[in-house]
Amino acid sequence: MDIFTEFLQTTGFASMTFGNLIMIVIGVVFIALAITKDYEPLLLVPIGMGAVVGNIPMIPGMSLSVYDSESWIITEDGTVQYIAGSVLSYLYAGVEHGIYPPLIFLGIGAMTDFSTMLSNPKLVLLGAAAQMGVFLTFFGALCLGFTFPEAGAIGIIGGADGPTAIFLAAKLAPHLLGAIAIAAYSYMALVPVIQPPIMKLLTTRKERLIRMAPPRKVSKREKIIFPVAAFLISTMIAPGAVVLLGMLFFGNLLKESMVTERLAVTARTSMIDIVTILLGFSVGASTQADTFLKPESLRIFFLGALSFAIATASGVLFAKTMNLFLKDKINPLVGAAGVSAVPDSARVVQMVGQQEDQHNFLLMHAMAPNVAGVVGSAIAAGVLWSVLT
Amino acid sequence: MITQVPAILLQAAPTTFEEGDLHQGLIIAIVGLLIVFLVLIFLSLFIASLPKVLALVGRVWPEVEEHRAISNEADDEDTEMELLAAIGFVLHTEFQRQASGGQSAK
Repeated sequence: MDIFTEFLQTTGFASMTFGNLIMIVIGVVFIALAITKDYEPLLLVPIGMGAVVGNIPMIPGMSLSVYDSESWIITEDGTVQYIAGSVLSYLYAGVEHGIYPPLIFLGIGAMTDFSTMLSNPKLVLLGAAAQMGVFLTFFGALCLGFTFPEAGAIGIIGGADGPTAIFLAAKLAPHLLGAIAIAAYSYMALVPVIQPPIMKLLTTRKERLIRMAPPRKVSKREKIIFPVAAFLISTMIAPGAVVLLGMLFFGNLLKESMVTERLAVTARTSMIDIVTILLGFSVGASTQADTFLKPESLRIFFLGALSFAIATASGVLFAKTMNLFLKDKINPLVGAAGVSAVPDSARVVQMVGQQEDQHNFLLMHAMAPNVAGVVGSAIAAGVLWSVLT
Repeated sequence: MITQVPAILLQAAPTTFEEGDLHQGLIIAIVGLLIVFLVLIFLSLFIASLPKVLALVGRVWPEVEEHRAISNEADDEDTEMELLAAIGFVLHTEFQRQASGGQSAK
């Protein structure tokens, strides 16, 4: 009977807290949103399932949670004993040590075509303008009482780049990683909901109707030289971005060099899929109620939404400012794609543009600030990392 | 007695926020944004000048339309087609020979 009672006490029902229940419901909502609304399913399904797994109450004394990492203990007789971590903790090590995000960047590089950016270099600046969201949110987080490293990690949510947000949070504020990752991916999934009202509010109908000249053809030689040169230029100025940009441009070189097609295919298919599964699941599993359900998580979500809104608005307003000096006008909607959620924000630009003019194709133009935004957010992360460490 | 050293304690503790730090935060934000702009402006200038530089380089070292690896692939494809044609021809001849042999047997 004692054994039975003891067993009952180890079940999830006995030790389930209200917080665990809320987190399991949130995980299920993520899965439901991914399946029914098609909101970033490749990310929300692993994160949602991870949240469900991570919030099953753990048995005391057993290494099951992501936070049960390996440790060394010194016993009474002075010997050192090694205690192995949980399986989830080993998967989570890739997040904790910032291993997964650069690998995802390698895959992104191998699937990114920089042609539109190369054909219209002035659109690169829109990718920089959108990073205003990062730095203004960093300042906003400081005003709300977060420490410098915490504020830096929260600010990068505005970069709209999940791997970058996870990378920086792991480096600067590991205790906020779960909340920051969930906020970043949630808002990335909500790009089609958050961006259009801001874009319409800040532009006139006349501006939304602007048609842009088709991009020029980019030579193969340009495409091959670009990743190496862009890496050198970026990291010479901002060396903190060397890990993320190194992998991004390396992936792109694999794609463009024509002699490493097999590696490029692996990087942009199997490898990025495997890493996404591990990253999404372990980040989800790290959202245990006692570490996630805190007032500061709500503040992070608020700042994350603000960050996205500022980034979108900055891109659009900067495009309008550029138009004051340009002969060939830019459709200011394209500025919203400086938020580096690739390719969702570019698709939103296309969608909003076509609501005014069915025959206006902005997607290819929007891809330029979109990929510039990826580079910009990685640089912003590198700068914050080097300054705040 | 058991002494456990959690990994989190080995990491640097977060710095605490103080009143005068807002000013410093603002400076970090502005300088950070300027660095991002600076990098992307340089990148933009580089991209804008690249076709001109390549046009000059192209005079000395013209761009080859097809890469060696691609030409090899094309060569492989040609060889494959020739091989298929040869196999087809042999099979066709053999079937015809068998068909004519069969008719004569009847």
